[in-house]
Amino acid sequence: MTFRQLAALAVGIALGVCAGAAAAANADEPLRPLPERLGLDHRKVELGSLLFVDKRLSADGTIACSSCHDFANGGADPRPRSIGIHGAASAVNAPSVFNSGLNFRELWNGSAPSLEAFVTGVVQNPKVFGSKWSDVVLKISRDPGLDARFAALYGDGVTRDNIVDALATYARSLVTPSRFDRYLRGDTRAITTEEAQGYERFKSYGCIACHQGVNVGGNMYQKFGVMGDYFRDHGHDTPADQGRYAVTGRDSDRHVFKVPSLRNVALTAPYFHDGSAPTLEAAVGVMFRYQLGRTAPPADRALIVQFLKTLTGERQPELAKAVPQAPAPSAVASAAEAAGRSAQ
Amino acid sequence: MSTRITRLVPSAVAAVVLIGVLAALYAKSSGVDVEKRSRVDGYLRQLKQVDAEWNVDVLKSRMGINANYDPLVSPLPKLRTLRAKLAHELGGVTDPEIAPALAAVGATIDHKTDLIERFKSENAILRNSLRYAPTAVSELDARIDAATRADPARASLLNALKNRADETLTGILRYNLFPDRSTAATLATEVAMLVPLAAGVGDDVGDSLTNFVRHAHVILTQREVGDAVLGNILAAPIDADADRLGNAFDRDFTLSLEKSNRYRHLLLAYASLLLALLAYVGYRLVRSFRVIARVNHELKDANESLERRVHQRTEELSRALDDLKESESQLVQNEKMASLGQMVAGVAHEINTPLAYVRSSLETVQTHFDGFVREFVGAMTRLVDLMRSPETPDTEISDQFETAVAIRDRLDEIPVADEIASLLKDGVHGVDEISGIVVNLKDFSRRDRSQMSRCAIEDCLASTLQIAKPVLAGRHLRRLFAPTTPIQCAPSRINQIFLNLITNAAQATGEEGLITLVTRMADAHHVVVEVMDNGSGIPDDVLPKIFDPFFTTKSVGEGTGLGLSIVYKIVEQHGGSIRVHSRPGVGTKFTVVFPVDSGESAALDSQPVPEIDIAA
Repeated sequence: MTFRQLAALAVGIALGVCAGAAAAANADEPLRPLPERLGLDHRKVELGSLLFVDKRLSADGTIACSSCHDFANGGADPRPRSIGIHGAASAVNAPSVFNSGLNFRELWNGSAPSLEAFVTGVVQNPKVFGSKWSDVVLKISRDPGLDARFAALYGDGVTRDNIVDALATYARSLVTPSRFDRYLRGDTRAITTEEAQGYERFKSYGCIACHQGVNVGGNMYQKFGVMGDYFRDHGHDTPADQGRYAVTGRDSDRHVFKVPSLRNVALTAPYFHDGSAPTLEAAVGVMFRYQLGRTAPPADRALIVQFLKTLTGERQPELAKAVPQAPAPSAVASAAEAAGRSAQ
Repeated sequence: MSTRITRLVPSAVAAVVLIGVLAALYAKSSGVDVEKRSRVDGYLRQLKQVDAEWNVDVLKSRMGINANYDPLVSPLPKLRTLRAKLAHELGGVTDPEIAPALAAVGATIDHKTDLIERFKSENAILRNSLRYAPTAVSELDARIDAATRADPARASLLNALKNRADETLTGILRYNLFPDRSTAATLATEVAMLVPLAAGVGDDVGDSLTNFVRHAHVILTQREVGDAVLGNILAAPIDADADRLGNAFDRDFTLSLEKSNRYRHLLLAYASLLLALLAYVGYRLVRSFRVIARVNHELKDANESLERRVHQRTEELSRALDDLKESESQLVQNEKMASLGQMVAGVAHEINTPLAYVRSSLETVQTHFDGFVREFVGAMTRLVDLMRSPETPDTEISDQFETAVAIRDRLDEIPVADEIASLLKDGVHGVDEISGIVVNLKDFSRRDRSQMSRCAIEDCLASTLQIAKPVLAGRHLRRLFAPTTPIQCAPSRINQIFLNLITNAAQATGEEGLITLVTRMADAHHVVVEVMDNGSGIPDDVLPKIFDPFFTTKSVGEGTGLGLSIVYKIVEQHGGSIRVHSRPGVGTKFTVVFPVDSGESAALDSQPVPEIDIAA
């Protein structure tokens, strides 16, 4: 027993986990609050907000960014698979655009090193927007209003890089501070006791090993199925399920995905790259089994879910100095729903 | 203009070439971008610093000092930016070592990024299992305790299991703190020996044991893998690659610095040369400017003196013109006097002849009167006196009577009365002739000279010939007058023409000369008058000048040289023309053509002509 206690203490020191780390503002917290200032050009944000709902980005004019990134669904796609032009089903469920600027890379398999790279690629992706950039530039520059905005903001007017820049800047403005950020900043009453206990469970059960940092994830890769073969158990192993292997071709990268951010996770169902978990509870269950390789009492899992709900934030337009013309979430949501219905 | 441009082209080309060489040398000499070097150095320094901090953060994460992986992620955008900046700065450098060195830096960064990604994943798994392993053993202990309580018979077996699990956990945790390969092998064996035990201890304990074994296995594996990854991360030579790139760039920089120094010396020499050239050009320019200024000054002086001279000359000319006018009027006066002299001579001659016989008649009458008439009158007076006196003897009366009769008889014998009558008649005739001449003279030079009238050209000729009679003395005159239409003219001026031409003709011929006057109609509207002589003729060299004013062949004082020029002017004023044909030794012919209706009356009225007014 003395050995075990000694060892536990040693582990505690080694991991830097202070047993009494209840002090929310502690710099050693594995989670960090969202930045309070973004320092973005609000005019670019405004321009990006217009492009975000602009269906001219797609080859056939049927979908916009907002078609998959549903603001009413935490900025993510409510459908298990996102739908591109001509009803093409994407291989994955579109993750949230909210706080995406804080991810270390974009896309489930991390193939886009930046938002810019992601936007550049997704417009040309035949299963998403299916456009040629030259066509998009032409269509946008024919819009006198947008053309004037581009001319005012960028020396060279409407170009691919400038459209990408405006959209990426807008995406970066979409941060969602939550109650938990207030808690991390020292407001211990911002979350309930149960939620604080949930956070403790989140850390002690090891979720925190991957879901850490400012974005509660989104800063590393991890194999899906560390402690069990998720894909064999679920009876499918598609190319999209190969994860990062599709990018690097290395066997060690098979089934390796970017650890998703858990901010707004209560809103972004369904879960995982394949949208296979319809509820948060189900997703937490899968994580326990395949990632942590352990079980937990239902009470603890419920506490964790309660904690996760504190990560639901609000878009803070004033943070990005966004202008009133940014699309109203409800309008975008209905548009996206309509698009979704017609696509289905 | 175009020649000026073509003259400028070579200079312009030369200037462009000189400046071009200067610019090229300057560009070559300043080809070394010192700022670029400091930028590249700065980027490389930043790269090494980011790399060093990255290494520290990896170690901190490994040690668990970093609570999250954000510090391992935050260098990624910095590295991306630095790589892009380096590629931008070094993209144009031709040094063969730089591109591979740059690629090596990029490859190393990519490799290290990859390794760190792996490290994060492996480390997360390791930490999870490490965190969970004591809990798993605690769970196992709890279940073993429960199983022991349920079945005390298996207590020793279960306790042994419990102790082995505890020992294994302790071993694993110690290994985690102080890993070494032999311990790992021993621990792996221990863990492997736990596996078969799970079968005989019941489901609860068995599951729990299997769970622990899995995590223990994970710890052993991940620790080793993680250490290997960590070693690779720390060995990833971003530092060395950056140094190699920096050295390559420095070498290239030094080379181009040397090259640019050579060009700088060249530039210096060239600039000095150019400066000298410029100074020379400047000197030349200043000199040319001085020459230009001097020439300009001289030009200005010349201009002023020219102006003065022009002014002077104008004054002289105006004076000369005045003199000329004066002498012209003098000459006109002379001509006038000469003509007058001719006139006077002619008129005197004309008048002299009738005057002579008027005188002789009167003298004869006087002689007769003084002789017979006075004698007869005296005899008659005495007779009457005798007859009146009573005391006069008859004889005396008869004697006296006889005497008177004798005188009367004598008078009868010589018809004195008839003779006197005849003489008086002759005298009257002479006086008539003189009066005719005077009338002619008046006709010739009427006072109202500009008065236009219709006049037969033959009358004018006749009138002129009358005047010119003395000049013509002895010359044969032939008149070939065809009927002509009277012309509109100023007769006195026409007379002046004819007098001049006839006088000239007379002067050109000797005493036996022949002068022919012809009048005829050229057509219905033009009358021709020809004055021909068979005189000496006019030499060819003189002929073109005869109508020039003041031209004369006569000796000084004899002629004014104005005669024919005045003729020409009068003819012109009448709208006519005058031509001359002459052959030396054969004769001369003047042909004057007058329009019947001159229509030049107005001009004639307004234009004064040098007049020869003999009546003045």
